[in-house]
Amino acid sequence: MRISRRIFLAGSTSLILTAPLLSKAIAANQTKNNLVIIMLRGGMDGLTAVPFIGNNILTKARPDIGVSKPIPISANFALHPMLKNYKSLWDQGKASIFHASSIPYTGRSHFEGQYLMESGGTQPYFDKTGWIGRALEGAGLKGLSISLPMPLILRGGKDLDSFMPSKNRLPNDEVLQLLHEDYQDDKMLQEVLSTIRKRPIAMMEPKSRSDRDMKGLAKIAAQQLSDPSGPSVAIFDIGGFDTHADQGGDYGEHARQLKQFDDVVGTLRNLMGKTFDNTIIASLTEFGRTMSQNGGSGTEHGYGTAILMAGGLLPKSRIISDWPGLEQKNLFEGRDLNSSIDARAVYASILARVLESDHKKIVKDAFFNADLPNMTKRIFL
Amino acid sequence: MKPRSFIRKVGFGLRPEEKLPQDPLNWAKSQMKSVPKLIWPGKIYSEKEMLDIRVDFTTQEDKIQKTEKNPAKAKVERNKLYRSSGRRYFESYELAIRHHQAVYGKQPVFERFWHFWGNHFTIIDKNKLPIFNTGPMQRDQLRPLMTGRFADMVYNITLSWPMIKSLDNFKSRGPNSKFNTYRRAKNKPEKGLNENHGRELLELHTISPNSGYTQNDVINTAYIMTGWGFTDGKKGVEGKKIGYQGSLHEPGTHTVLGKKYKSDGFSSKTKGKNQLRDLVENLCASEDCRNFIAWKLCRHFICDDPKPGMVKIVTDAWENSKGMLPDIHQAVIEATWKFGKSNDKFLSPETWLIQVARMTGADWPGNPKVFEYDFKSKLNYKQKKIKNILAELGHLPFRAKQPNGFPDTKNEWLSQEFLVRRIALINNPIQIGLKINSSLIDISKTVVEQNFDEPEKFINLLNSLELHKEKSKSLISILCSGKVLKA
Repeated sequence: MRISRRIFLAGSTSLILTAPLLSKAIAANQTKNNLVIIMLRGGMDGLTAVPFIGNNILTKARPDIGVSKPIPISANFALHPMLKNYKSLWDQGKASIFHASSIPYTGRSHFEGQYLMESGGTQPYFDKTGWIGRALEGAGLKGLSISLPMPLILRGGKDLDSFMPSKNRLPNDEVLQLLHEDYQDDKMLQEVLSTIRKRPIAMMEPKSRSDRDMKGLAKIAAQQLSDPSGPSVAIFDIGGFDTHADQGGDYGEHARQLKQFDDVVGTLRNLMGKTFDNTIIASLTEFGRTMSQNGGSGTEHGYGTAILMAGGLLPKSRIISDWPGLEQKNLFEGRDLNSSIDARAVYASILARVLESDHKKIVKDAFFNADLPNMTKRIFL
Repeated sequence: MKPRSFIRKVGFGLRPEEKLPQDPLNWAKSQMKSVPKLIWPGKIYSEKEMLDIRVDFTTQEDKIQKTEKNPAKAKVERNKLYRSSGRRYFESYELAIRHHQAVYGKQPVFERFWHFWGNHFTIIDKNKLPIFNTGPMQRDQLRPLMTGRFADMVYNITLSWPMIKSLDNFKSRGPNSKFNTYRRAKNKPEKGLNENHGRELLELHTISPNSGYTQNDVINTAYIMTGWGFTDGKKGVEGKKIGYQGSLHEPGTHTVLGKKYKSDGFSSKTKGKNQLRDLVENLCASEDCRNFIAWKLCRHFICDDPKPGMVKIVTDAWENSKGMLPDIHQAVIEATWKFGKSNDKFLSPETWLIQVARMTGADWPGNPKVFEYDFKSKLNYKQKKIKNILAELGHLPFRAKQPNGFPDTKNEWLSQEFLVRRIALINNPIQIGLKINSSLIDISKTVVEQNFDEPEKFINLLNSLELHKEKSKSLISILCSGKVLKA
């Protein structure tokens, strides 16, 4: 039984190593707070997820791809009908939306934009670490990415793992020890292998691959986040928001991707139990999309978008926005929903709340001391 | 560079029976002069045949959806169609052709460059493109272009069927085109511009954002590209033929990066047609393009952060040859030989897998006869495994999610889960065609002796494993060593 021996070793190592963390948490008499970031790649259209319904200006600009059955949540805004779980959290006072916001990037390139939404900087391909990684560094907290790669957003943190279920089995730990010795002149390889050897038992069991099943992946995250010695941050990665053609309205491509987001939110809500009370979920995307539809019943790369937040750490449900308006003169470069605030200000306040840290320190650690207004009151009071 | 490391850095390593070339530099460079024939002994479907198969499939699938209202019966019908059309088969088949070529071919360095360009001109994973179109396009169009000019490669691949399909240009129409002028007159809603392909032509395929183009340049590039799409498709649905329709083109002169592109020609059908050719020529002749592509090639082969000296060898060759790819490729090889260090480049999962197969002499991707298919049965394990294993490793080459393709650096390819999957694969070597009763320790020794410039440390390790009756550990300790994960 090579496998069980390996699991035993992994399990015991993990317990020993997490013990200091546990005692630290107990000593401070605190429950662990959790942050879940759901990255929406391709440019999530804030005007599809959270359409403006104050007048018919949006439906006019989008005759073929408008949301025809929006669920109103205020006089001016509604939710996309696919966001069912999110709506139920809204009704329970556990969801807030920050509308008309973007990372400080107007270049409209996905790849530059995605780099910046993860790095938290302003120069594409420059910073080698991510804003969450930097915030976690030194905090003694673990980060988990539900993905094959280690995303840039977490890099720079110390206790990181990336995970997706797999059927295949690892060899026993003696073999891994051989590799550990071989990797001694490559620190990065050695650290990655060390985390693998410390993985908790639940992550070592062979499971069928389910890369497309967001509910299955959210279940794993829920288990890990609920574990007091488990990670405090989980990252999801959902693609497919780049709908230049056939974007759809109530149904279709953009709607399908929004449902994936909603599935993650719903599964976390259902499976995290009381831990959900100490959790905040937030969406993150590189940019929004143009106000008007294009030639192929899609939309082009834009600027401002919406940040969808949920979780027990929010005091109530509300739309937070300095709404710039959708009239031509109010659009960014005459075509995109404008951004009324640097999205990093929102994430900084979320981080400060979750890590129970000083806002200034977060802005310094995570966002290079950028000039970010403190949004804590607007989100959490 | 040391010879054996160099061969892994630009190729896939030495097979057990291969001899170390006496002059590795020329061994590699000479491979760039001609396009090697595909050595796959089975049937090779042309890109056109695959397009026909695709169209048949989509037509029949639509028919089932429209006519069969009973969901259970529709499912049975669809399953039958999936087998008869090869929907579940062709991607594995195409991957097998690609890997067979890399593992057994005589010009492995050429194959490495072919893989590079396939990823440079990524066709994203959508609309069944990975199943029917991406691989055949890379074989039939991209591969022969590798001995010509870069500008010709860009122009032809821009107008290849899967690229036009995946980046939506067939849906793009000039706002003032004849088409839209007519619609306006008839009070019908206009169908406007789609920027997607124009942006990626600039950002990913030629000059990169470092060139400083603006949103206006993107729009003007998209104007220039209007008219290029399916000439036989109806109502914006996909057709089979790519061509130019003047009636959809945005008329007038368009300016990209300060250069003006006039609408030449008398026939309204072809007016504006030359603009794309001229634009591609200008983009490819620019310093920004040379710098970007040369840097990307050096990053792929030499190290994650190539130095200006390395890149300059390539840009010089580009300028001197006016963008001839064999010269560019040979310059990359020279730069690698001159500046490359062993263990400096973390390999992508697919390159690593092919190296493992080539160096161990594994029966990979399997006997070509195994891949013969009757278009009736369920696919068997051996037919599916190449696709399954590459999926498990996170690197199905025709399934990049975004048009920038798969990444190319250690930070992107080294994570806990990526590493787990490589180790777990070698933990069950039968999957990659290494017989379980074969002597794993002898295989490991051959890999080391053939491919490591300083084999002593690893031979000692293997001898000690043999002495302590721990032979089963040998394969992982070599194939998942830092030495083999990197080149």
